[in-house]
Amino acid sequence: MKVISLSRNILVLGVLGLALVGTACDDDPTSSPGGFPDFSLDAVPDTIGTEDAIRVVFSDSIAASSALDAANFVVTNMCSGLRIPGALRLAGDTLIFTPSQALPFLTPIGVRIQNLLTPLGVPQPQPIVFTRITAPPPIRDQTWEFMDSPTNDVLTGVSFVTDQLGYIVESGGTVYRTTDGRQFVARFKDPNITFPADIRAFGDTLFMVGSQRVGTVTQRSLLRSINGGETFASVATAGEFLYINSMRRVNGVPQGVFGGIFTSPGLYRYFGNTNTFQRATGTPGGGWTLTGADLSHNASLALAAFRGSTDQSLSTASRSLDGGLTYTTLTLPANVWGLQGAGFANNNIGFLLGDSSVVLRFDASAATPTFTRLGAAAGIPQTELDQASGQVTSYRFIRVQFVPGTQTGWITGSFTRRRPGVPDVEGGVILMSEDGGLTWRRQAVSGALENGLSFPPITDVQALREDFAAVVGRNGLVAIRVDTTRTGLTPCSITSTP
Amino acid sequence: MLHNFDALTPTPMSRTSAHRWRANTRWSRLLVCLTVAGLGLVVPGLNVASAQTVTGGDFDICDYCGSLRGNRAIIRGRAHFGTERAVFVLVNAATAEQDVDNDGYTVGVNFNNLIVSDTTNFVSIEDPSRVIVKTNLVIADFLNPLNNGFQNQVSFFVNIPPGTPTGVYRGRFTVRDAVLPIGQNPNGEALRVDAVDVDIEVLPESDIGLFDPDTSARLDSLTLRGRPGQTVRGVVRIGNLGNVKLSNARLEATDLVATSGTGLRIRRERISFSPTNVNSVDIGDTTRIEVTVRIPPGLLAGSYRGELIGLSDDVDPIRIPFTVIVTTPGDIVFETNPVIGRAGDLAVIIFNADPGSAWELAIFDMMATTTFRTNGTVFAGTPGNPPIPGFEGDQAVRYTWPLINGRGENVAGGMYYVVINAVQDGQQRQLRGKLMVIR
Repeated sequence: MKVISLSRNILVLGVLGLALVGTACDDDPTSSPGGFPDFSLDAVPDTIGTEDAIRVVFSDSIAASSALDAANFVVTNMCSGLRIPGALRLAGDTLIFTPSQALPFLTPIGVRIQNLLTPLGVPQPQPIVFTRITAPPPIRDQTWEFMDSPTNDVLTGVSFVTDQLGYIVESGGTVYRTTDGRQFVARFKDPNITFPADIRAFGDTLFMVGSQRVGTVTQRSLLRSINGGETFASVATAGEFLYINSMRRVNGVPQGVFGGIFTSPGLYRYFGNTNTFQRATGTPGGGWTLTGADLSHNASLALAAFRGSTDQSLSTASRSLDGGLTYTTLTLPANVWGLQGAGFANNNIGFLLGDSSVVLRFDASAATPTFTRLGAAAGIPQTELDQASGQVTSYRFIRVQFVPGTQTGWITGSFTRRRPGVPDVEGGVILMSEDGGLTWRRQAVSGALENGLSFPPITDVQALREDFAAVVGRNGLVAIRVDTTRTGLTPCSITSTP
Repeated sequence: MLHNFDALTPTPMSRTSAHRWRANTRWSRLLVCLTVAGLGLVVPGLNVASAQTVTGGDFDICDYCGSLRGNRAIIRGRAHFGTERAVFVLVNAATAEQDVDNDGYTVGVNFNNLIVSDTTNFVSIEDPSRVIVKTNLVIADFLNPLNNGFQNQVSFFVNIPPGTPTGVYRGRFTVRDAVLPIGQNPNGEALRVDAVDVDIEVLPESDIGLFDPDTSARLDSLTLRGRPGQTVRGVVRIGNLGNVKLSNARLEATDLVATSGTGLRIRRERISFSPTNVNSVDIGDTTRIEVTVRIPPGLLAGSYRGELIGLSDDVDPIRIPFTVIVTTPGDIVFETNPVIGRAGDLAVIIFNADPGSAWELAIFDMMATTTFRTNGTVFAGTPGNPPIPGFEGDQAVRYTWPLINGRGENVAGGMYYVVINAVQDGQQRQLRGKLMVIR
């Protein structure tokens, strides 16, 4: 019996198979019971915000039971390969997927919508698949890269001669050198030298300022090495504690200004052709702390910035029209808080930098300089207040340096994020200009947290070329920018959550 | 910018009068004497120091000033970072009141050659074989000059190398003058030298990683292959990336769902791990865990994808994609059979077919009359490199038959034959199955 039954089944299925291959049947039962609605992705932009929902609009109704089944709306993070959880809802004929947490920045996502049915049960013939990318982070430039740091200590100066040959100095007194552009090796360490800062290299000739014990005497010196940082010797001594050294090569000869403070600030001019120095006159007296100084690119002008020693929000600045020998006080505009730095973009255009986002740009050669305060429109981050949390973020800029003969330069400094009841958070800030300092854009360091913006405060910057710059800072920070062909932002390059 | 001048800013020597009082050993020792006397005890020869001038000068590190408690600084930090900063205060007394250690002072002697000397390694209290070497001590401010009648606040911290196990590490550093030699006062107390004991608490940090079983590479996904009914295995290593032992380390998995959208899945109950959990993983060590998947018999071919989750106590779970690729195409699978039409059920017919191939489906009643007929093309996929999960092209079709005939009328209850022509592994095949509809 069983054999017969099996044979019968095979016979029937064989007939049915032939029917499938061959013919249609009574009353055209094969006609479609109805079509599946069309869909539109017009509501899904190419780049979606990290908080945005994904909306797919259908031309007719979709059965809610199939549309709201999470298994039928699959959103995948294509960087991690993991599924992105979210909630589904139907608004009329629009199917909406809302991620349950913010999507990461600059992340491709794949969407597959499948197995939908119409209210009459007509199935979706093919899955809907599409890819999109999430919005890039607010920082569009992540071209800086961390370098391997030899120390966790505060780095107080950086200077590269070439892409491969560079020097950094840390507050403990060690000078490190790299000859391959990556690995820093301790080159010089003298326990008698404390707080060296602002190392500047010209080939094998290096300059930095610091305090040096000589016998029983403490000398505050401009130190020079002529053997690539192996040894240093004093070329200028001062009564002040020296911590500012701005030096550049003018017509092949190192020229610079350096200074510090004891009972009052002191500034000096260094002449590389004779290896001599001269104390400048006209600088402010007691009660002011020197915070920055710079020589114009042709060494004809000099600027110096000062803040109040007691009330650190006070500011004054001085200008020299004779290359840093005699200074006169500048009349600053109102609301210039705590100046922290000064610098030149070229032979004439100067900058003064300070607390609370102060960035002043002016023609330092003018008889009466007119200051332009750069604000948010020029790309300078301004103090931010989050009303909900009470968090205040303020910015302080301390260094500006331009590549000689170009419009490219960087401003560096730090931000302080203050929220009631928790410790302050301090981080570094890097701004870049490619139009002579008229406008600036904030830059990030690849691999740093908070979308590349969380790195230690910066103490020094060097603009060697348009395609090579370096910064150093606290906690052993060393970073360089060498890739100018891309923004540094590539899909999946953002490792942190927004 | 660091300003050297900042290190010389005068600050109060002690934070409170109580600290100041404790810091003054004259008063402390007087308190001891009074206490002893009050207890009726007689201690012969109690040597009470008194303010005195000494020759050659003296400086002190003020106990209870700055961050010191006594002469000890207790600082905390995380491996791979520096500790928080601590401050000690150097005092060059010019008066008896300023002589915080009460061991002597000299008017007019300045110290210009103070150095940190004789730093010891910082040794773990729990395991003396573990140390933070002394070169990690960083003095962040000037010691010099320490002029007579002045004090210097000196901040310091300790770099904690990556991987340093959690615990308390104890060490000491000494400050002396490189030119003025160490001496003694009439009471035999050392002059021109002082020391700070340092306790470093390295905070625990737990972290977990998943690693390839054979190399040191991080594992970013796990893929296994097998046929329906087979048991397949793979190995994953759980690594301890923190500085404290991992406890209760284990793996878990989610259901693995077909990427072709058929709704078929390998349930997590069919995925097991051996060992199921590991009580402890040492710092820097890894442990192997075998992942076993029992692929259900009759499961259709395709990729089944979910997540493999690494867990341990006190760490955030780590997730990676977990895929089982089932080979060997199967026959027709009905999601439910029989289908109860009056309950609103629909017949879901699932079958394997090659990506991009055409398929035909016909449903016959027992009288061999064609009840329903349709056709389609298997989703061919969207090119991508690497392939986008779910975009590679389907290996199966899920078709929902709403229990109607071609005219849109509900079909009657009974047995129906489902016949499908599809391409599987490049070969045209006819798949057949019986479906019962209950009205």
